[in-house]
Amino acid sequence: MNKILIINSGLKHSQSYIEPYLKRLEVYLKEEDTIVDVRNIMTFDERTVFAYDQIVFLFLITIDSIPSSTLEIFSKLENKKMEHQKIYSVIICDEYETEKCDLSEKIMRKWCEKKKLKYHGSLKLSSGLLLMKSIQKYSVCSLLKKAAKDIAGGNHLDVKTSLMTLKVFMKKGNQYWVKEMNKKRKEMKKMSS
Amino acid sequence: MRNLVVTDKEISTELFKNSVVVNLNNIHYCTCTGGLECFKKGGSCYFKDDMSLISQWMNDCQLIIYVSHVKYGCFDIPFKKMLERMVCNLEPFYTLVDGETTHQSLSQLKKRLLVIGYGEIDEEEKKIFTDIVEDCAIGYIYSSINTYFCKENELEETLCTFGGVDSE
Repeated sequence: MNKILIINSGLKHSQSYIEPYLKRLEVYLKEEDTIVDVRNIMTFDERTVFAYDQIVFLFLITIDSIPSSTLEIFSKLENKKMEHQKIYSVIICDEYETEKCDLSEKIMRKWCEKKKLKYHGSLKLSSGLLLMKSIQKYSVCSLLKKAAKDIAGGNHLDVKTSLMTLKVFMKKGNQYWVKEMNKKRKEMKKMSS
Repeated sequence: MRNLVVTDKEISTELFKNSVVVNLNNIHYCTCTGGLECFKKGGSCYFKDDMSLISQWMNDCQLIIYVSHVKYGCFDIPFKKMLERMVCNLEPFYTLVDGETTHQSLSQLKKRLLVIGYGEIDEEEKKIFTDIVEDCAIGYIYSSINTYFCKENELEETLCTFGGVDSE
């Protein structure tokens, strides 16, 4: 039975945005008859990585590349011996173009090359803040299911998708932020009164 | 405030006499938590530390010089943490710039950006880093963006080449 580690390697509070993706992936990987361990930047223990067959990094990109928290994990793993692990990543960006995830993938690849690890590909999703709140969540789930199958089987993974049209993204994306700002304003008003 | 130099390594301030030189190792700043609270609060960051002032300077200056160690083709950890804190200088809304969606900068002041990446950097890493710098710049108004690379032991020499660039 394969042992898989999912590292929620995004920034501390970005985890609330990627939690729905993480939960789904975890469930689908467990369905594939694997042992799944989930860690985040606080609970990650570099001394245990040797025990896993596959490692999946899951994060929301920041400033067009991988977050500093993922770089910190790389730094923790710098002197750790890793040989057989297959590395995957689930890269999520909040903007429309899936290409915004490409640079993060290249950095992941570079890290694997320097660590002499096998990079087995990524699932790249754009419009990340909106997908799981829209009807497209069913399509995302089927993509995650497919990705889980590939990861569990140790196969190569290469999927990128936006699942929205640009017009819908612009409308829904800006509506999302107006709603969030109003919510925050009300919250702050309540706190001050 | 005209020019700002941000570095993750001790450099000679003599080279940039018309700039404020910020060494990331000498200031106190918290790591961005990524909760995007600043987007929800119209640009106000939850943390009030040295980065609040630097963030303001970033908006107001005309020339920004970054001196950063490059690892795996990316800014190294201290620099990346600093850049993540700069998210509060962006609008939450999505705008189309040259057909690409982006968060536009709150500051509309035209700037120049000069980035000097140092370390053991191969060609592929140079390409990734240059792309990151250019992608980060979308949404900001830069009249020029230039990226240069050097080895760590050549940094002082490279900086001498750029010494005085802030008085142009």
